[in-house]
Amino acid sequence: MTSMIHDYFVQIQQNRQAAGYKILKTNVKPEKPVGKLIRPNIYSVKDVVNQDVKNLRYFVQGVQGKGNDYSVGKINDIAIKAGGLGIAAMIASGVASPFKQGMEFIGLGLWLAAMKFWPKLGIAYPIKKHTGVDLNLEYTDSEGRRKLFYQDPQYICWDLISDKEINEIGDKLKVPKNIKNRRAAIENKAKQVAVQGNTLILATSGFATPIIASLASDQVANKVYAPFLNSYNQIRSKSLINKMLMMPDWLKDNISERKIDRIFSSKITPQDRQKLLNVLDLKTDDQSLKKAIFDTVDNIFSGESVKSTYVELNESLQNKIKSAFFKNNVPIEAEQKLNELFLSINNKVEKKQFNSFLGKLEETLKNNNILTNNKKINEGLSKVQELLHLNKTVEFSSMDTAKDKIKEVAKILGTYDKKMTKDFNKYLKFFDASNTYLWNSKPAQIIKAFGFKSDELKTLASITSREKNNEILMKMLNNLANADEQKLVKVVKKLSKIFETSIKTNKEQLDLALKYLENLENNFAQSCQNCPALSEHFSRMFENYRRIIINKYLSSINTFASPLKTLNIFMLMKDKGVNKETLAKIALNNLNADNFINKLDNFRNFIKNDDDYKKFAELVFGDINKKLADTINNPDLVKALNESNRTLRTLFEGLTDGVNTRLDTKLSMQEIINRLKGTNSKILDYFDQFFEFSINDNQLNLARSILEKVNKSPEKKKKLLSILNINPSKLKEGTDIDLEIIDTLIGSNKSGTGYLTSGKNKMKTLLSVFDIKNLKELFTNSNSELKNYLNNIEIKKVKIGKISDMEGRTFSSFINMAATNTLNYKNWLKRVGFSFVALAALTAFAISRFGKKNEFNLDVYQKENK
Amino acid sequence: MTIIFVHAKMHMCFQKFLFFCKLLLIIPYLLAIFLLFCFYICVVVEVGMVLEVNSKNPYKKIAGYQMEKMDSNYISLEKKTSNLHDKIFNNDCFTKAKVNIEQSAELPEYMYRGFKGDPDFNFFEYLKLAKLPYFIGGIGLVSTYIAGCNHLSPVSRLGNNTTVKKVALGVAGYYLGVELAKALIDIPIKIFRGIDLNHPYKNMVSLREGNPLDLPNNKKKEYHKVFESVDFTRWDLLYKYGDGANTNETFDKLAKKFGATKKLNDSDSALKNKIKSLIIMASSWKAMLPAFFATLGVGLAQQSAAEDIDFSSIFKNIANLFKKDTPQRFKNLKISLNENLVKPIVLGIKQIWSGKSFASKIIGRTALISAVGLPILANIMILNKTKIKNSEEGGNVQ
Repeated sequence: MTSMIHDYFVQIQQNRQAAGYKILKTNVKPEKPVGKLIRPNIYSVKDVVNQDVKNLRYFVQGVQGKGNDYSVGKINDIAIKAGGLGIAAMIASGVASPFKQGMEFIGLGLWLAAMKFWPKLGIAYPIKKHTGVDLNLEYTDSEGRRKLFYQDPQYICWDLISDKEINEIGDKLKVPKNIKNRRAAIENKAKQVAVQGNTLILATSGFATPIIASLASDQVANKVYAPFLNSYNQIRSKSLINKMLMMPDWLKDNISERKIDRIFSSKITPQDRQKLLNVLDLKTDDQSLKKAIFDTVDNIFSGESVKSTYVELNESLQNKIKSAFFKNNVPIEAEQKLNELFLSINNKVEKKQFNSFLGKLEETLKNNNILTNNKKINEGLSKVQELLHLNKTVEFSSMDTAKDKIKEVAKILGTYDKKMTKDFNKYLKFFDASNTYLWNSKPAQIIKAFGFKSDELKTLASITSREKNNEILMKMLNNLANADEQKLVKVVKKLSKIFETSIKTNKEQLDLALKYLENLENNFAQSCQNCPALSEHFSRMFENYRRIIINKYLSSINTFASPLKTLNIFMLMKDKGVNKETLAKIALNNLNADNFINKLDNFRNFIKNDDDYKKFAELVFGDINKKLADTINNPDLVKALNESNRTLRTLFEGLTDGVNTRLDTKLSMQEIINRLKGTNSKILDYFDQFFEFSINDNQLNLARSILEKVNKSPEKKKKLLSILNINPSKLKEGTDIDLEIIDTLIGSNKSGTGYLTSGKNKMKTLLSVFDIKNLKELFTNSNSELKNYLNNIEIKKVKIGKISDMEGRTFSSFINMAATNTLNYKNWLKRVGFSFVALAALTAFAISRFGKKNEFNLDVYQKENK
Repeated sequence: MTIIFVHAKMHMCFQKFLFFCKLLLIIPYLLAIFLLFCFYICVVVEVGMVLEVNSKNPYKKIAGYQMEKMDSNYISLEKKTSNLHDKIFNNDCFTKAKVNIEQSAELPEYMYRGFKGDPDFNFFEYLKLAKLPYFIGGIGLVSTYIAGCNHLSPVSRLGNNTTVKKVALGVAGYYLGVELAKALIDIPIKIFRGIDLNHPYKNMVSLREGNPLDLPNNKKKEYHKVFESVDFTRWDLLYKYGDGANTNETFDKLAKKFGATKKLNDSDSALKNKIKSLIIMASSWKAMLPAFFATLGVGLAQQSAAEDIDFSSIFKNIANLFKKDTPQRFKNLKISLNENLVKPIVLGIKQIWSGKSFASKIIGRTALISAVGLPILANIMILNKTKIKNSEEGGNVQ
């Protein structure tokens, strides 16, 4: 282009010279063109980064008012990337699962890649193969701006392309050879192809980018990222738990300590109460923890008005006490022990506690074999007593020690914040992630293992035709159990492998987590000795955490065991003469604890007496039969399956208890717990966590009624008083015993929570004396409200909702879920995959027609004159 | 008394203005219609190209008979006025809308000629077609999610699918964010400098001889913007040629907006550089700011508050406006807009500010602060740079 202009100028000058003009001597002349052709490596990351840096520089210059059309246009490229990153970061920070967080960025990367590579590989490459026109070609112009060679059809710098290359294109485009000005003809043809190619890029990119990006994301997510993340998470969570287990920094929360020191420089006064609550306030939504903190602070301040007197054990007094026993030569051992004793009581002896102090002195001397002579000891003690009475007493209030107590509480809360809120929640996230991975990836494999056909899959996926679902499943299982031996081996092998991985992924993590919780609980129990409200809260909290983890674990295990266990029932059914259809229904559907009570009717057809129940239980909850066990060929797996059956049996029987059924297996709660404790399984030991008492309403009424009944029999009153830890002889004068009992039951006295409101442990002790039957007898004549309440206790013993979590999914609903997932995915893949194939076919067809003659390009050539 | 009266009147005016602003939020629907239109063009033209329905200008048949009609109108109009040279249009909303519609209606023609490889196909047409992947990409993204819906499952059914709703809202948020970002530069510049960056003009392009389009004088019209290019700004359209002393009238008016306190001797040369740097700065910011606003738009759609956004009930209320016997239809629409759109958006912004986690708080606040701060910074920088200082008023600024 520029060379043409140069020639033109030269020509004008020559013409003027020829015409006799006087040539003006100026320095103005066209610069030599320095444009360069670039054949870019489209995979080069360096190029991308370089261009991005350049574009960023263009933006900085543009903001200052420097630039041109090219540089301003280029800013868009970097803005797309910046916006994409912003969006990905915004969404990723809003979701909790690490998988989704990672996928946001992977999705962005694949989207940008699809945006770049579809034009370059999907369109430009085949066009180059077909016609020789390379749409990826770039050039830098004289000002160093890098542009696509064919982008602007009106300004293509043909002079950068050699004759040889042009002729190659011409040959491919079948431009005749012996024509006038062949190069120009080829250039025109190449321009046509370039325009067509560019249009095709613009027409298809909108469809191609999302289709390719979503297909690629799906493959990357399922085949690469999810397995990688899963193993990575497991390693991380294990190392995290191991690190947490070491607990080197237990109660070493200097920050809280210093904070308290900074805010309360001198003594804490009663007016600081609200300020204290603000300082101790963790940013938590846990109302129960807030209440526990409130109660603890309350407890510290409750003694503010009580003043007592003490004797300070200064050095001279200490020496006098020592000399009371040993005169002037005190043995080193004795000195040490006595000093320890003085330190342990902070060098203070309260006036009320003189006797206990003397007792401690006696104990110390006797236990350490320092003084064995009783006479000497007694003499010494009486001297000490005199000494104490002679000394002046000092007044003090509980506020003096408040600061130390608050510091202790602050330390505990700081540790709680670190160990539970941060560390353990982080761990739970990992635990969840591995569980989710299991539930996302395995169901499809189970469907594959059973080998359902596509029309069967459709029926199984719909929830409207439950009858048809059962038919299909029953046919399949009957066939496996009775007829098709070879298939049985195949299917069982696959199923047991899935079950094995599902156990493996969770078991180690569960054990570690339980160990950690146990460790933490012991530590907290020790450090919370002086704060009963906090210790109560923590014990409840640990119970909760334990339940969450075990629930999740058992839910997965029971669900993934369900295909094998259902198969087992069908194999057992072969031998025993039972009502097959009903049993099969039960096996497939009705073991769901959630709907258990509603579906009791179904059982009634089958179970009419105890013998029936025994048969039923043997079939449904029995051990895995020998044939299946041999096929599985893995004793650990068989053991796990049997264990799962046993837990379900326990739940099942626990649930039937209290419901008026014809089943003759009314176990009391205590029996269930005992039975569970008899088993060796570690997990079964935690089952009693699930039995809760929900007593919230009418506590006052209940307390009053209890009192009423108890007052009639002195024996029971004695028992009650001993449970409630009330000593009638120690009560202050004028205190009503009955009132004290009610206060202790409900918790309106200073000690905080009452027996009826507090956790299960206290209630358990109460009920061990008055078990429900006795209580019922006790209250036969009482008002209806109370009777209802007591009747409800039995049903509410087991919280059904909580158990249904642990029970997992029944076989039928699990297969339904798996079929739905599989079908959804297959449909999606079919739709998107077909769109991609259609797009690719359309593109290929369009490219095959590029460069042909049409009304815009008439392809009229003049023959070369020879 | 009068003060109270005036105050009340102002308040009422303000209320009306607010209501008008809320009405503007129907834009998403218009956008959706436009997107469908683009989709239609792409499919129809591509299929038509492949099938080769008619060898002579088949786009007229495929892409709609109205093309032919428009062309004939065009020809008769142009012949009557014989106005075949470039022309600057009036700068009002009506003209702009008309120009936009006419320009969009020509996209099928551009695509047809592109697919045929017309030697007269130019970079302007290429850039106009580049809008297609931008809009179709959004629809495509939503479609890939819709493809995962299954009518057999009540949860993943299209109507109930929250993921699809979130993605669709996110895409809408993206486009709206981009438009808003551009408007935040355009509007202040128009107010304070009197320059409308979207001022349209008609550009007549000469075609080669023998072009089968067969247009009068072989000239094709294109709709450009006066200030779209830095390198080739159409100053000639701003002069009033043949009007003697008033040749510079437009520049004189603009000079006052640019801060000149007295009449400049040659306002055009004084302003040209100022306007050039204004175009560069404004275009740079208009390219970069959408990144932040799109982030905010998509982020807003991801908040739980956005689940309450319900266009169907707003749409019902809008439909009710045309039923005369419906009581309190305007009030109902107002309430519906407030409940289904304004409140969720306000709540969503609050949710972004407070954040779910530490990271989301930081990112959300960064996006919000930059969305508020950067346009202000951009406008201050542009206005500051382009102001005519007292020292410059004396003579030329070259």
